[in-house]
Amino acid sequence: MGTDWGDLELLCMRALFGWAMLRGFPGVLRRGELTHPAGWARWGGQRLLANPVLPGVTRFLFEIALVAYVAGLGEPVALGALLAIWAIAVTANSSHGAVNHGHYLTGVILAAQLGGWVAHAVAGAGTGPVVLDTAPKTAVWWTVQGVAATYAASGIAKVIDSGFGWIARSPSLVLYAAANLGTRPRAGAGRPRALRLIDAAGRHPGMARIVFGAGLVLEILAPLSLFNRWTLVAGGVVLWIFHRANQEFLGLAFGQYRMILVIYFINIPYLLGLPFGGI
Amino acid sequence: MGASDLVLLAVAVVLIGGCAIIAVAGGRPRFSPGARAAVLVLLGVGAVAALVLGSAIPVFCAALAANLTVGRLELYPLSAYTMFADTRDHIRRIAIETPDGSPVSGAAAFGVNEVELFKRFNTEVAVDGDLVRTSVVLARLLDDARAAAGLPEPLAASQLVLCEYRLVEGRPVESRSPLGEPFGAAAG
Repeated sequence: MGTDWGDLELLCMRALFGWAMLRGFPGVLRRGELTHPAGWARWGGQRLLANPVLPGVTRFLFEIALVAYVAGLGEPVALGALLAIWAIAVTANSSHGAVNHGHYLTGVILAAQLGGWVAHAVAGAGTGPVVLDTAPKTAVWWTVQGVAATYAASGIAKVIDSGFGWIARSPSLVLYAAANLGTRPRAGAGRPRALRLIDAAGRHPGMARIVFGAGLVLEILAPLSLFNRWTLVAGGVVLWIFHRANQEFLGLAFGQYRMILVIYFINIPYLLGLPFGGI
Repeated sequence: MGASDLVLLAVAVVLIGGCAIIAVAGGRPRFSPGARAAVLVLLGVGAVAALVLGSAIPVFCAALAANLTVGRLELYPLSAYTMFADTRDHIRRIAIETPDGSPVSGAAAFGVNEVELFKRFNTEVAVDGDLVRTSVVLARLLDDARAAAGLPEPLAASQLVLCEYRLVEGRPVESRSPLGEPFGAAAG
């Protein structure tokens, strides 16, 4: 399964993921009464989430937990704290009427890594598929599976919610290109590639179905990347290209998702170490 | 890869193949909400069964099952990621523009980006479909966010604009209409 990550690789992953969290921390953006309680907030805690001191407190605790996580000090506790803080921040923001999925993958990784540490503590060292020989390796093994499950769930939801008609209707996705990038060139802000895509999709709907359908296939078959290290790299690269194309042509960025693919799937420190016999 | 993983792979191929066949045949089937939920729960149960039967990727199975079932409730970090699932022939967005039609950055001028503004618009419209009430709510949201971020008063007469996009013969056609009063009009 390609789960023989070295200590230096694991350290690089932790540092890079810590940096990604620091860059992407949403914070509690909106203050005051929750107008549309979402997720966990529907069942309580609304007064806590609307508390005016929450933004400052969550930011302070986030920074402490982040330092502990990257330094490898009390990692399970740091992971639990980071997960709770992200859940509070994302739930508070989403409860003002705008659910933002851009931060969900970070939560998946925090939960997966926490689960990996707990499973290793409970079951002891193992040889897979649930628990590996060390807790940090188990945490990364759970991480890549959690990320693959996220993509697969997204693809399956498209198939089921559309009654198997997603590929047939996919040319209408150019509406997102029109909405996010504009339907006409503006002075100094032209989007020639997006405009060409809109034009081409209108003229060749069959080709548009093949292109968008390929994206759906990538999502649903994401777990195939879990075979070994090289399938992880290959899966990471194609999913990165998938996101980049979505940004270029549909205006859907998902920058944090791309960064996570680079850290845990493409794993650049590992690739850089190959000419020197690995790291 | 165990036998249960091969079954998972077969299910994935059936999902993709079914979608592709309907695309080629030109059909437009739809599931009722009940049938949709039932299929998702069935797939979730199948993923759990694969886990129990000794999948080589047990965490994948558990996470997939959780996303497809309880993820529908958006219990962070679980989600079914349905945002681009139901493709439509008509979508909308919200823009902020000056009287001459130049775009105003919501993030720079109010501390609220247009994506968040649009999601809030959708949430409010879903309550009662009242665009006038929705425009008042959005204007108040922008004003509160601007004050909280310590940003200056918005450019006089800049305004929210509702942009609608429809597919006409395969091409998107845009229509625009002002949403509510220009900023500063109420105070004036």
